[in-house]
Amino acid sequence: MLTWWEHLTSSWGYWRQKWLHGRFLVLLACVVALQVLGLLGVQVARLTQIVQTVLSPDYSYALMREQYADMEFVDICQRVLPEETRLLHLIEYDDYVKYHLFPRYNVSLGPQWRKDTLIARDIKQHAVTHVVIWEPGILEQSELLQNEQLFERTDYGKGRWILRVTGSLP
Amino acid sequence: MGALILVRLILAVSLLPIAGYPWATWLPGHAGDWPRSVRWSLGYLIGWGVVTLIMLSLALLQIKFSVSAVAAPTLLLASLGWIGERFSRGRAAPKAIASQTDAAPWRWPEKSLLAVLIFQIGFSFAEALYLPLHSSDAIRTWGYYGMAFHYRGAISFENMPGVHTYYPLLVPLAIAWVYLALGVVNDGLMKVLFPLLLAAFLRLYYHFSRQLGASRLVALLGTVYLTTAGGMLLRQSTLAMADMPLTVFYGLASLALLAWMRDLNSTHLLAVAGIGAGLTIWTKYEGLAHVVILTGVAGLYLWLNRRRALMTRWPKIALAYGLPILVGYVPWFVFRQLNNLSVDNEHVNLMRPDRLGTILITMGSAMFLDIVRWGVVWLLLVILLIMSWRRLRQPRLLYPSLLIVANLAFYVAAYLVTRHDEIVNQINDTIHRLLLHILPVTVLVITRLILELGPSGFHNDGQQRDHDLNAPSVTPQGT
Repeated sequence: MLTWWEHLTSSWGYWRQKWLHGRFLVLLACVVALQVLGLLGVQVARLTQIVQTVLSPDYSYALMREQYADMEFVDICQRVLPEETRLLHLIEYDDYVKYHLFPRYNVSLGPQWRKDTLIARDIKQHAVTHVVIWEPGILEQSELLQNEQLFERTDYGKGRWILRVTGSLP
Repeated sequence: MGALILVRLILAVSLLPIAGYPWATWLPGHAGDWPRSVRWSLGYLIGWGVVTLIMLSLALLQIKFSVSAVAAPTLLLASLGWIGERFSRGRAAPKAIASQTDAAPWRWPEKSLLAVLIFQIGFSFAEALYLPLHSSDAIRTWGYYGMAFHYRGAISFENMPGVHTYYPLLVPLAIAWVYLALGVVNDGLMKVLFPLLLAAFLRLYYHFSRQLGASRLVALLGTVYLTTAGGMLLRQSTLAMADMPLTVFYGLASLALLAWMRDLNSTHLLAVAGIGAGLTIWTKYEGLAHVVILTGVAGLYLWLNRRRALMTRWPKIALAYGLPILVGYVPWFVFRQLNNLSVDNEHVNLMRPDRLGTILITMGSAMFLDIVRWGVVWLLLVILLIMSWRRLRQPRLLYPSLLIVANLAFYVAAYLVTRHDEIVNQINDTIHRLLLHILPVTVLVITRLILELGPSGFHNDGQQRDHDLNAPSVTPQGT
């Protein structure tokens, strides 16, 4: 015959065990399932966005609108860049231009080459057609970008330029 | 133009599994009995190594890269593998008994999980092909090297200031191969390599989860959770950086070695582990440390639990595990020596123990509070470890857990000696990629802990609930 104390502790131990190995596991599973479902939901939304952009009649500008908060920037690019220029990049660092656009020129553009600069590429030829500069001082840092034999420049004020590639680039 | 480049892309990518499949089939033991999809997946991973090591050999011989210069020796090696595989097929070990669950029809929960996996892989392809290279490291390191090697037809760092010439070159050479085969630099299409790697690895992860005793349902749950435990793995599979391949190869090495530790007669598993380890070293600088840790944990297990087996079988172990590691390490080491590409000390400084608190807090924040990247995976691991702490002395739980702890300790040690002064920024910049490297093992440990705590139906049929790590295993077939 159990004493009341033994009964209580035994009962507590039983419930503790049950809670730990039963309900807590279920609770844990619910938390994980919620997190997983949340992530899958985000991915479904992202996939929908990708499909919509790809199927959009003007893919490149749908892509731009998705990536750029500055709508004036998008509007000017949309007006200026030719339709066959389809693929556009946000440049976070100078590396893209230094390493990707002009690998054969061994050019260093300095550390100030930052965001809000676009490289426009023709999707068919995969060749660079335009460089869009949206930050004061960038153009002045690069002798290469000032090369008039390689680029035709259009000034949009406030240090904003669109360069059309007229020379031979990789 | 469009159709032609797609054909070229398909041919470029196809060379990788063609190069690796014969070797995946012709492993010692009965790997040849694995399902074809497992062998093709393993072949794709091995193909990364074969093609890039052939390119490295061309560079050593000072032969300029070209499609034929790369493809011809690759196909020749593959043919030798095919011949060897055909020749040895008659002597293959008898097929192991298939477990009952594999013959059973798939139920709706399993079908649903498979559908989620297919969706995840599809998502990875869409996100990868949607944009060209855009991640900073992918542009300035891996993609840049790949493009330079393609343009120059050689491994050359001439006029490339600021690059780390000692980085292993598996990823840049794979990228260069695709550019070479395409005939043009198209970084958008090139990225298809990486979602394919994810798909192949998920197939292997599921396979090894089954080998390690999980039921079909639990193995599928684990595989799905690997892709949904935060957004890191999937995101990295779209960027064309080296961390995701490193995760895949280190995951393969770890899973295969843990499976081998259950059955020391499975030499093919040891060889797969060696291949994974060799590829890990050939992928990234820190791969060597990861492999040392993995080998150390396995060695500790053998020394403490299977010393007699270790003493009698060490030549076989050294050959099956060590040879692929040497193949992954020595050619690059020789190339570096011949070309004076020394490792600089940019990462290493004197020990700074005063940073320990900051390091632990920053790492802890990254692991437990960054829900977007990691969901609740690290929290889940800690809770499950606490709940089953009494069972942690069992080898099947102890050694995989030790592998995670040892890798985390290595990260802490690396931050203690790093030269960077802004330690918090340095950790925030790098820790997520480092944690990704051990994600497959972490999810595996979580799966195993759930097996311990959950109902017995979670176990694979034919497995004893309380088997030890060294108990003989039943190899599931048709997984």
